[in-house]
Amino acid sequence: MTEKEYNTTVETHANALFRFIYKNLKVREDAENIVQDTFEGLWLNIDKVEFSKAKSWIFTTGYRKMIDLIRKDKKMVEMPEQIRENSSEAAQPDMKAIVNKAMERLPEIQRTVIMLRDYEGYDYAEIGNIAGLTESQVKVYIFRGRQTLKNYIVNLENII
Amino acid sequence: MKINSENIDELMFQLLEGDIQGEERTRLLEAIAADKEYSALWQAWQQTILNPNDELIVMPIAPLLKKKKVMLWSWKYGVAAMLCISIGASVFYFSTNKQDHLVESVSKPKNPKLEIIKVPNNEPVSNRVREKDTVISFKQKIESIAKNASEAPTKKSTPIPTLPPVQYVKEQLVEAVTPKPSEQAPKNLEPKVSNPVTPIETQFALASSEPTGVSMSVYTETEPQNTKPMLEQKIEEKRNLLSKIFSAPKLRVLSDTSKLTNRKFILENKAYKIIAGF
Repeated sequence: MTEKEYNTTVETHANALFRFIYKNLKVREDAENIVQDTFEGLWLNIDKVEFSKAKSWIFTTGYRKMIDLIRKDKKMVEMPEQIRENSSEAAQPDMKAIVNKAMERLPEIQRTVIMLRDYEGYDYAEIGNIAGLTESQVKVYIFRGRQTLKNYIVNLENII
Repeated sequence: MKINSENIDELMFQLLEGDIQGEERTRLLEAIAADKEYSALWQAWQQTILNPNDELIVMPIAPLLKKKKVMLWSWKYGVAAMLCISIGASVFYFSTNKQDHLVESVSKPKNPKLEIIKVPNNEPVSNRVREKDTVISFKQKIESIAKNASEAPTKKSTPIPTLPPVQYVKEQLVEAVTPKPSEQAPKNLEPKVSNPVTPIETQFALASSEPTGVSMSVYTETEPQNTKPMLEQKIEEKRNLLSKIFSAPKLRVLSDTSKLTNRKFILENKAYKIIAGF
């Protein structure tokens, strides 16, 4: 990969990686630090990483850094379900906000694979490479995550 | 495939992920649309797909770009290349034009000056060593030539030895002296005599008994000792002849380096003046 291709990768995928990290961590500074660390690693390995695999490389590296940070600092604090539901009802959010709230309830791995699938358009194999899973595991996690979201949406509609 | 409460989630998930295509997909979608409960579930399933355009979450990416760093590296490499080129060019220039600079400095001085070499008016211009005029006797001259010839036959030039001052001599006959074998002249310098010749020095004053200031030496070749009366007779004849020709003669030796004949022997009296140069 050349310097020009590196800059192209930054311009194309930096915000996507930041969104992916930020949607998981919910802390902007931590997400920015992970993205910067990820691209610094890409720059140091610029001779080893091919341009065609740069996106997969930065998402894999960013995801692992995010998992390390989560496991180290316990950044992800589960909010009590009752509080979330009450706040959702009080604000009467639209469907996008309801889905975002439902995403927060998902387990980390289910949220990750769904975001990689929907936001970045990866197939099961690519998601498996990033998250360290098989295609079957990815498919199962995506199914379970979507089913949880569907149940949450259906139940909320029933409540409303 | 029929839709029932057990497989409804799985079928809708496959429809959502695009795993079911073609006629089966169309048939399933028609079945879902025909049932109101299934339609509500299908809409809920469709809401689980996240749209990346729903929310713009961005971060400043300018610090991540490496353009400035790349420019810095290019600038450093450019400076290094310029230094290398400059040093190489200067070394090459001075190494190849060193002689030209020397020639130019000699041929084109900054402040040229015209030097005029003054030549003395009365001094002859010659590369020869000028010698002072000396007055030596003819006899001494001949003696020195004979001596040098006997000592070094191959020697071309004959230096003039330091001679005693001119003396006034009276007419007298010098006895013949037989030289030692070691003093004999080489044979190749004896052109006319077949036998070894014994040189005899004869010194006499010419014509007048008065001091004339002239000393003359005659180098002759004589016969062997048994021919002494004939020799004396010949000498007497020559002496008489010379006395007739020269009356109170004077012999001078001049040195003139300005001419080819730098040696002049002048023999003169009141009636004659004989100049010999060599």
